[in-house]
Amino acid sequence: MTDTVPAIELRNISKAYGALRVIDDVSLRVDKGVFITLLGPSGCGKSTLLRTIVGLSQPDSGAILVDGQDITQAAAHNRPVKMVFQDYALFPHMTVAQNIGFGCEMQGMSRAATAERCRELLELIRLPDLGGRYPDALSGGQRQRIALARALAPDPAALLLDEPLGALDLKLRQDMQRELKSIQRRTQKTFVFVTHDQEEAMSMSDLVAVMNKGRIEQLDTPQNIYANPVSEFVASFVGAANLFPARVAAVEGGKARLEVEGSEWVVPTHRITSGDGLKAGDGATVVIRPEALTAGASRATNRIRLTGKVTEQTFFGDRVHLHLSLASGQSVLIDARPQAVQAGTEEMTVECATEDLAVIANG
Amino acid sequence: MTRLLVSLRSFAPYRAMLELYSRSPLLRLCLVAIIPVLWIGATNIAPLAQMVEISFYEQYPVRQGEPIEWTLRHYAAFFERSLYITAFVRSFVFASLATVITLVVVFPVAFYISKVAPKHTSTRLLLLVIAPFWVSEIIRSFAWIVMLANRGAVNSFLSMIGLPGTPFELLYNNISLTIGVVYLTSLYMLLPLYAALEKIDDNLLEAAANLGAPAWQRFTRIVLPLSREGIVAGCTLVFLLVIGLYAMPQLLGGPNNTLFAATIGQIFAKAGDSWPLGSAFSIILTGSALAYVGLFIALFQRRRRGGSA
Amino acid sequence: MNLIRRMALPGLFWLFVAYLFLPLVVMAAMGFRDSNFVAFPIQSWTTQWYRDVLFDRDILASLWLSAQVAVLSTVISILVGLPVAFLTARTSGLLRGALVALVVLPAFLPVVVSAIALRIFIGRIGLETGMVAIAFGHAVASMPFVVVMVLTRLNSMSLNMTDAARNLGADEVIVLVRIVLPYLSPALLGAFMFCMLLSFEDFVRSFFLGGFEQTFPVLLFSRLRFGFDPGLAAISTIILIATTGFGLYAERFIRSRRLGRDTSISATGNTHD
Repeated sequence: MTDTVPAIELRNISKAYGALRVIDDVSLRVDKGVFITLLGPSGCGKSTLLRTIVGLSQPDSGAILVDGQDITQAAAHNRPVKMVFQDYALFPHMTVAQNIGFGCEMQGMSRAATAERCRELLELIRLPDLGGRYPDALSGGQRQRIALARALAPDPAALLLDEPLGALDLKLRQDMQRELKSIQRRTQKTFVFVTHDQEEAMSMSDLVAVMNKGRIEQLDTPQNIYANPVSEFVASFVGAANLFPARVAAVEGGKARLEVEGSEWVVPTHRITSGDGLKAGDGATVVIRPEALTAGASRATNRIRLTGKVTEQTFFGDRVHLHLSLASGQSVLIDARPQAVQAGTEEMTVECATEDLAVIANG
Repeated sequence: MTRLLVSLRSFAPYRAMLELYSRSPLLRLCLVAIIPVLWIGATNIAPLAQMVEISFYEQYPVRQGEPIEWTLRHYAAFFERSLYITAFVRSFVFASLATVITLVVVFPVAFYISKVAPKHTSTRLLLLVIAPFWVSEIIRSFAWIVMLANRGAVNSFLSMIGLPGTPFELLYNNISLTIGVVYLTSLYMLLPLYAALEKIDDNLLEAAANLGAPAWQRFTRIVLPLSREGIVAGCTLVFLLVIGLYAMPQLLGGPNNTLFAATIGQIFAKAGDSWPLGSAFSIILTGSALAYVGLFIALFQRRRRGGSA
Repeated sequence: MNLIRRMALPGLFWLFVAYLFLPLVVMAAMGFRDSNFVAFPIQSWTTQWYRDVLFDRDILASLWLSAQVAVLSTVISILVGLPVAFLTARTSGLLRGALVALVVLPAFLPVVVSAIALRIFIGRIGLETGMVAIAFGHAVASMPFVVVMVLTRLNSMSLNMTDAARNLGADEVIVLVRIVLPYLSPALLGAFMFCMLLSFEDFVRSFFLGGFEQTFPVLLFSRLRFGFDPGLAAISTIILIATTGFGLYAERFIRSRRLGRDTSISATGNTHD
């Protein structure tokens, strides 16, 4: 047994406002030094979960452990995890240095040590000269970094970030994503990041927890979340996905035969990403990413094919999006290279390797 | 200071107290509510409640060992003497008139500051008319005495330009009182009016002019309806202020035109045994004034609904 | 309309300004009259009255009392107004409406009535008329203004700010001392000046709640009832200039703070899922 204690451990956390279950029996272990993202639509409970961890909201049941210590009953001001707020919540009546030093001061650190720590952090966020300014004299990106430094200053067991980039414009947001990631790497801190932006989650995280209706639907690496979604929600919330309702005809010898769109698709069973044993007669959903579909019909086996009318073409420079209308009426999105598409095409056949699709059991 | 508070936390009972406080929303609410509840109870409710109570006492103070006798006699007294009723009616008529006059005087001023004067000067103009607000009622009364007395500034000026019949009796009548009262109330009217007029979009007026509405119609159909809330607020404030005036009527008003607030004051200036009577009168004044204002507000709101249908 | 705009409205405005200032200017001039009576025209001038009133023991005593009352009542009304504002900010809906109505009630009573009600009340609880009673009465009158001013400021404060402080290790006491009060300080300073002025100019409450010693407005009132001399004009003018200057400063102070730096901090608001 290793003695690696997780930085944060949540055990069966639940919280309800009246009949609405905001957090529904969530358990989660976050190892030290990991960058984990809670990803979900607004209202899925991710921010409430963060606030519960720092003690600004009390769970109805469950336990919160930080570095192995149960802090479920501790007052907010005694918890060793720090948070970066969505609107930064910098103190407007204090200078940048006073803001950053606030947490140290609260720990009873001496004036000199606080000043030193403050200088270190201003170095870290590459704003060494701003210590004497007031927050309202700073740009959005600067404030964001100050908020980060302020939360890091008291050397927290983990850093929680509640949609910290939401208020920034796209360009700045991308810069800040890189910056955040690099600060996390340099400080070796555990980051728990909350966002509704799946690209942000994908590009920054070691692990992503996709949340929906107060539950964690899937916890995995970004690659696995994308390639092997375990639910329709995950498949469609993370990236674009074509979903095909299917029925299992038979499962035998490492292959599953599925009835989809009036034809039979044979899929290797390791592509079934959820549900322990699919049996004949079960309903399922097949997930195909738009870029997994390629134009043309090769002779290769292990492929499924779809034919339909092109109803819409949108050109993006390096990519082109095609909407294909199948005979069943279902619309399919294809993300292709412009060269692969002939101008004026009306009817088209596309194919997908069975290794590139995923099958989700219904229910 | 902060360091002291931080180091105080190493003291276990203090730490426990903070923990308890931050974990119990109920305790927090109670601690926050305790001063407000006590204060509002002691200053805004208890005195009024006691006043109501005393107004039913046969006599006050109640003598030691004697039971309290309850009576409606003090309320009846109001209707028995025409002196009281006259003062009461006079108060309401005067306050209403003063309110209307204030409105008529102040409206063009507010309109000028908010809509006509160049935008960059409007703050300065507003400050100019707000400035005398901080002068007390007594000083303002005195200033008007100096103006209106028989040998005051106005009479002196009039005789200087050779007007026959000077000095005129300008002071100690309803006119001098009205001049002084409007002087006192104009700011309470100005601020709500200014706030309401300021909010009206200039484009509305231009659009109306563009559609061919003449000036008078633009005023009655756009400016007036849109500033209605300011008018109601200003009139309410001014009326309630005037109905409770005590000092200025004694300094600027005539001796035979006593207002009801002064009547109440005089009753109280006597010995304590007249307090039940004064209390009853206070209740009558407060109740009628609030009812009057409430009716006024209700009427205005009904008109608006009717008008928009 | 153009004619009205160009001529009549400015005319009315400046007429109104004259109406406001002329009596005060005339009164100030009267203070320079070299005579024992208030009368026009002024033939010979003197600064004697302005110098004399500064050594009038009664006037100085009344000003001293007024100042004490102003400070005491302001302190009380801020100490009470703060928690009332905090409580109001925590409530919502019908409860909040009821609370606000109760808080502003004194502002809607005829002044005479509320002064008299307080007079009866202090008699019953055994408080003597005098300085403390007057200050109490003034605090009752000015507390609603403190609440409104503090609430306005409080509404612009991001809730996340106190949460952030708590998260960084500040307990409730420190949050109050280091975050909330400093944030409210412009409103508190504004309220402080406003209450001082309100107390200083009040007559009715001081009159009914006062004992043997008189505040300045009460003293002036009683002197005016016996007759006028230019000295009263002189002291009135001095007080007028002092309070107007202070009032304008307060006004500008409150305005500049409201338009000033507090608005910039709100980035996205604080919606928690």
